[in-house]
Amino acid sequence: MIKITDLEKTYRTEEVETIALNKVSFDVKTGEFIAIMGPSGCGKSTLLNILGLLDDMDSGSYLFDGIEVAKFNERKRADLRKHNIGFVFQSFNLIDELSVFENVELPLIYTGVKSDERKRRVEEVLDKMQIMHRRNHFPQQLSGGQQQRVAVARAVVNKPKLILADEPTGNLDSSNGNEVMQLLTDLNEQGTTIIMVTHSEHDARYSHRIVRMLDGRTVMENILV
Amino acid sequence: MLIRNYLKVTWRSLFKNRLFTFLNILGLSSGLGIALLLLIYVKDEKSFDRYHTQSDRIYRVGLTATFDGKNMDWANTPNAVGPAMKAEIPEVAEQARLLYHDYGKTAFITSGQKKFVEKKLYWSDPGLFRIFDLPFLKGDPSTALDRPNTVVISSSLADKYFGAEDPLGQVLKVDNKYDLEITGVYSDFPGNSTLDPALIGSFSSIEWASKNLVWSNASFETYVLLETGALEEKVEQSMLRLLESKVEADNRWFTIWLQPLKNIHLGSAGITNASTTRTGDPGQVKILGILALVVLLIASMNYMNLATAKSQLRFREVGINKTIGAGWFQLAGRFYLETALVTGVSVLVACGMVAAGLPLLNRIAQKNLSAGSLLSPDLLLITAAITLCLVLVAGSYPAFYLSSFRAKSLLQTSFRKNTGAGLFRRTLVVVQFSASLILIVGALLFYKQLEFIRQKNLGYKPEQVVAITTAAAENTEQIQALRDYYQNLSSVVSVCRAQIWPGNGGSGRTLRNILKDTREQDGLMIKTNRVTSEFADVLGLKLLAGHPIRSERIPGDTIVQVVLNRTAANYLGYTPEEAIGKKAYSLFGHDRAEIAGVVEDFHFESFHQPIGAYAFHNNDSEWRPYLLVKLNTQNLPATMQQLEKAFNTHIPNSAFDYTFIDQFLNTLYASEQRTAKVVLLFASLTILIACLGLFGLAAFTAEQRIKEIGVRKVLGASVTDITALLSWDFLKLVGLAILIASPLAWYGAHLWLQDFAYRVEIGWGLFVLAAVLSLSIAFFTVGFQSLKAALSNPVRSLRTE
Repeated sequence: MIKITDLEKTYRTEEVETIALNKVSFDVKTGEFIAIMGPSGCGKSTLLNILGLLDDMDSGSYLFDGIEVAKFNERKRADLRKHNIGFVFQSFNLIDELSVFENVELPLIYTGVKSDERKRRVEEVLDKMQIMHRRNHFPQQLSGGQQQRVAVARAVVNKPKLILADEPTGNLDSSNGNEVMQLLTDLNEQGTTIIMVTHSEHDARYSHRIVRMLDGRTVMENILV
Repeated sequence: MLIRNYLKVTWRSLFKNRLFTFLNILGLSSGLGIALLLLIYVKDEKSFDRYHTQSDRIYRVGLTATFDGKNMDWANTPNAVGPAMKAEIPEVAEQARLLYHDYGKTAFITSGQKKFVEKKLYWSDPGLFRIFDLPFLKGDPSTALDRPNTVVISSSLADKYFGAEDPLGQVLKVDNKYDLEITGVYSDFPGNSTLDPALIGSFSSIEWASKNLVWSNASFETYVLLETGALEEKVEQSMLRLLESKVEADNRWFTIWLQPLKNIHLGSAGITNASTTRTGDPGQVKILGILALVVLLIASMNYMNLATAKSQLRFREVGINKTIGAGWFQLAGRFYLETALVTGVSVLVACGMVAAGLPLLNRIAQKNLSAGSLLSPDLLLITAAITLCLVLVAGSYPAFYLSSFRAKSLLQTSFRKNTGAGLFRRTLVVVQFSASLILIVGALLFYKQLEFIRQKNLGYKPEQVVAITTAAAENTEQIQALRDYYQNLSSVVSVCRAQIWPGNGGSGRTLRNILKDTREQDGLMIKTNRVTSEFADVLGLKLLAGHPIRSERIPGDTIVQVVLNRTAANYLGYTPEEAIGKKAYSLFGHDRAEIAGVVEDFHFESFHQPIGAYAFHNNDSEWRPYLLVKLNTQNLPATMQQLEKAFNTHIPNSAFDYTFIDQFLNTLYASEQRTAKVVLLFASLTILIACLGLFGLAAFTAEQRIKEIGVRKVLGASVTDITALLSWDFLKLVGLAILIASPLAWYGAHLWLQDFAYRVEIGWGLFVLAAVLSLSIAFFTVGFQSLKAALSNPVRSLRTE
């Protein structure tokens, strides 16, 4: 599903040049669940952002479902993103001004789904995430675990092929964290490909394969299954 | 020490938010600058005639004439009024009558070999210099006008006529009739004086006016100086008693009253027959005064808007300061200091703008204002008061509001986002845009109405008609010869002699329909104009029936021929055809006027007035000082030279003075045109200021919503989606402003148009145009910021807090 080759990314400021990714290459097959691990600043979030087409790469190749997307313009990226990729963030990134229902509905609006269909699909996913009773609440009125469940619901409502999760349990206690990991596992079992960045060995064990990074390179892969 | 620390922190904070600081200062200083410019203008208008040391005691005698049951206020009185008041009313200390030379016609002056035309020659009593402050540079004011055939002149005129020579004792010949010896030179009347004669001849030189005192011919502007402490009302009562004692009840068609000098410039809108030209427009002064307030309000709102937006970014900072022990006074002091600093800089910038903008204002408003007025005590006081108000109001939001919260709340993200300041800011934007919109509609309407007037069919053709003054001709033969010469020129279509041209007055008479008008006071006011037979060709009038008048009455015949306009014929109950050969009663005696023709109605007054009755006639009750010449030429300068050359040959002892009628007609709306220009200019600037605020707010909002924008982009929102989302928030407000402003603007427009007898339909188009204009301006302002936000990389905004 994903094949990246010799991916490079450098951040430049006036004084320093930081190499975030240094000739990174790896493949992800459809239906895989991959964990990316490594110390802070090793480039894992940058990698995830590039995989999610949120950030540009300097050089290298990125094939998504066999199509080269490295040179896509902003409009094409947005298009690919909204139809194929769901995001889950450590800090949830819910929009405070929108209710639970409206937050989850947003991706469907951007993909042009009709109102009736949207309602049906949002309710279905909220039901599945067991937060239906909170549908009219605003993010600040929810606990961390509940907020992350909303974020996951938002990520999956469009039925994406790929979910990118950036430390999804980083802001949660262990029981809420386990719940979220279980949700991701369930989604994976239903066929969604998942790439997750994490610091937690515990969470990483939910995945099929762990890619370890250091100083912008992949240094080791552990196959768990 | 603390102050230094404050200043340091303030400076850094202002520098850190450079864009906001810049927008703040730019907006505030533009607003202040514009308001100050307008205030200087308004102050000048209000300062008219107040510079005379005795201005509190100087009055002009007004006259209310009653004809046909209608009252008319005039600025002129009979020549007997002034002397009688001085002689018989003890409170009247001095009087001076002012007679406009030949009722305002051009004077032809020769000094040696030099010839001049002057429009500002007046004749007056010696008392003038005891009433008004008029410093003499040469001669003695107490005796200068004592003798007949003396004249005093303004210093600029003295320079023009004599240069370095001493003007005293020199003789000026006026209209080949009067030889006047110059007995004094006075410094020019200042720009804010209603009176502005260039020459003042002694009243006693005009025999008919000075020797024979009558209570009927009201042609003299009369000024009086009251004794200190005299009561206006009491003097007015004495004036009425005086009138009763001098004029018997049957002939008493008028009453007289006092108008304070200070009210003359702006309080004479309804008063006609004033010989002074510098009459102000109180409506205009009011509009500009309101405009100054609105601009100031918009600029202050801008400032507050940006200040509150910015201070929201400072919840955290205030929270931290409170946590580490800052008290209310310290926090409030800092905010006030910051506001004072920005306001202070803005005031300085504004003063610079005033100095730079004055030449433009002077050009538009035809004034001679100087930036030095800023230093006058009242404007200094106003500026200081505005500054203080701004500092207090704009500084109070952060000072009181932010400082009032607990430190813990200020540090909480959720609390910061939920304060009500957003509503406050939105309200300010709505108010700002409503005001701007009203101004746009106002300015557009001004233009539409003026354009309407320009294009409206006058009912005659004043284009290429030139009025040439022949008042100084020594005899009729000279005029006749000149006329014949002109008539034979290929560039001349037709020539007539006329008392006056439409739009510039005429004689007032009463027309009676003998079937309807049974009482003495019944009848219709009619303007009459003595002309020669070619008038209809020259003016392009449409003759509906009959034929033009003969140029002269048949010797020995008492019948006067008249050509009426349609309105006058209608009043008599005739169709144009029926009217021919009938009598026009009460014109020139009971039944001497016979209708020779009827012309279609035409606008012989400004569009402020509806079309009334008009008659051209050939009675010798009036003289015909003008030659109206209809030209048909591609080369106007050459034709004018040709006309001038012939004039100088035929009427050698006079100067060639002419007026293009269409240009003259434009001057009827000069005041409106000026107001329209000023309003349009300031309305544009006001909108610019409102946009500065909107720009700042949009930048602020984009910054505040950066995370949301990031999230939406990640979820698939396109650049268009984001731009639309952010812009919509503001455009909604502008839309609301349109809803609020439209009825208000309509009402204002409706009121203003009441002043015109012929007016444009207000129409929806105007509002749609204004709405589209303000929406587009707002969209471009906000859209830029929104686009910038939409194009930013979402990754940066999604970093954890």
